[in-house]
Amino acid sequence: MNNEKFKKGIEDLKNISMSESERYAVKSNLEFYIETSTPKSVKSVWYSNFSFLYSRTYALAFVLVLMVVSGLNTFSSAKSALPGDNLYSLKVGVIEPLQYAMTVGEVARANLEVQNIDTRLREAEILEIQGRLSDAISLDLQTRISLHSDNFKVLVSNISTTSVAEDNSEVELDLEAKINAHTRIIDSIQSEVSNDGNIMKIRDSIERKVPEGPELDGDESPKIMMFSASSAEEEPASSTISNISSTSNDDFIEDDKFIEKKEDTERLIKSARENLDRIRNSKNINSRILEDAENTVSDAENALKNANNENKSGNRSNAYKSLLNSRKKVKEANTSIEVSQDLPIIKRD
Amino acid sequence: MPTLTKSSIVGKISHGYTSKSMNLDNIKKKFEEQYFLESDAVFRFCFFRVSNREVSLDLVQEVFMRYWDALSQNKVIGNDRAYLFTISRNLIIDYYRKKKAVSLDKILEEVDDGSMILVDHTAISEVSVEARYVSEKINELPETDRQVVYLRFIEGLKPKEIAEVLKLSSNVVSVRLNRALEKLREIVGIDINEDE
Repeated sequence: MNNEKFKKGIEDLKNISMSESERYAVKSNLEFYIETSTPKSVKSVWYSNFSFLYSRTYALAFVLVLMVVSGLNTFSSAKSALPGDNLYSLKVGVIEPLQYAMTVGEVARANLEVQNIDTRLREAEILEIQGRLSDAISLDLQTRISLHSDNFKVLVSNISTTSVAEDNSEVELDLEAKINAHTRIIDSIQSEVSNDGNIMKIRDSIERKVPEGPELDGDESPKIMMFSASSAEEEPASSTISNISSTSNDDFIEDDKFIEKKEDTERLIKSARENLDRIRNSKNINSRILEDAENTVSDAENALKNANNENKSGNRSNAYKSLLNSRKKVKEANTSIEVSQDLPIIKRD
Repeated sequence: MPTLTKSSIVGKISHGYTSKSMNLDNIKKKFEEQYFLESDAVFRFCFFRVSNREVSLDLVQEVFMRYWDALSQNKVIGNDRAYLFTISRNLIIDYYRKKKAVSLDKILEEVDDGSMILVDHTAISEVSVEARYVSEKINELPETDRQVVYLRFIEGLKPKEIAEVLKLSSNVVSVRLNRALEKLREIVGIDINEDE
């Protein structure tokens, strides 16, 4: 055996290998092994859809999300809570003060107080129709309305000193419209529901605070000016509108402001008419309140016509007074329309 | 054909989770590369020691299954080739330990020191005369030197890799290799260099 043959022997030994079929068989078995032993196919018995909670970060995030969601749900439910409900204290003790704190500006806060008074009155009306307006609840609502109105008075006086007179008059007008609308709504309810009369105590409480002003245009609605800076004895006709008449200078009302308010009033009247047309045939509407709203819109339209006539004749003070009256009427009508849709249907005896 | 069945494999499956840091695709790619490069060497190594083609194929399969497990468990493998030969060597030892037909004492005597077993000439009857001659001459070497010569000349492993497979130091491997070459020259009667 020479060197070459020895080398050949080594080379031959090196060439010993698997056949192609053997190689394929082993490889396919290995692929099967790899496939079946891949971790993705193995599911731990401890695994569940909430396994991510084992991570502290994810668990904390999950709890926070849960709190936010449940909190939002609770807040949403609390907003529609009525006196006597479990969530009512959350509504008046947390949500409304929070809303007030987050509202910036005297005018906005005054508007919020108007809204709160409106809410209290609606609560009273709903409870009265449901027969749940007890003495205690009635007293509680009167107290709350009184608190809101006192705060409103402070805010209005601040607006008078820090802002333009228009902001002051507009926010007072809103309140007057709300009160007037609710007074008539309560009258409607009282005439059809024979309960203990607790709703009337609330009505009287808001009326006691305000003197009846002179009739401006012959309508029968109460003229309420609850929160005028002057007392009733000093200035009996102290409504926002009648205050205008005490000003002898016609020039203080600028043309562009008159036109702006007139156009806005026209928009409000148009919107009220459209809403009335939309809900007129609805069965789930308190027809008497709706009828009152229709009459009030008509009054608003008449007052607006009167304002235009006065303006054309040059009596700008009376024109502006009629315009404000029209605005108040249409706002009353809008309140009645909203409430007529929210209140439970009054079942006639 | 070897008696390779999927059921036999399923029983050997381990359910270890893959480390987060591992990329399964990269592992598969590396595994396939190593299978392509080293499967014949592993087969040859097993074949020369167990003298049975089918058993050798089973051993190859087992070697690569264990290699996959190691990769998927993110074990640190310094030299893949040496690692494969180490697994092969251990499996061959296990194979002989389990084989009842052969005297246990003899097996332990021959296998525990990692020596070559080329006693069954039927196993290499399919190779050339020259190849059989070389294997016979290697078998004439002392047991401690046979595996070093085989791994160096047939598989082309470096002394460092041989040391890793046999769990020896590189110096010991070099000494054994020089001593084996000297003896092989005497047995064969020709001049054999380490480079060959």
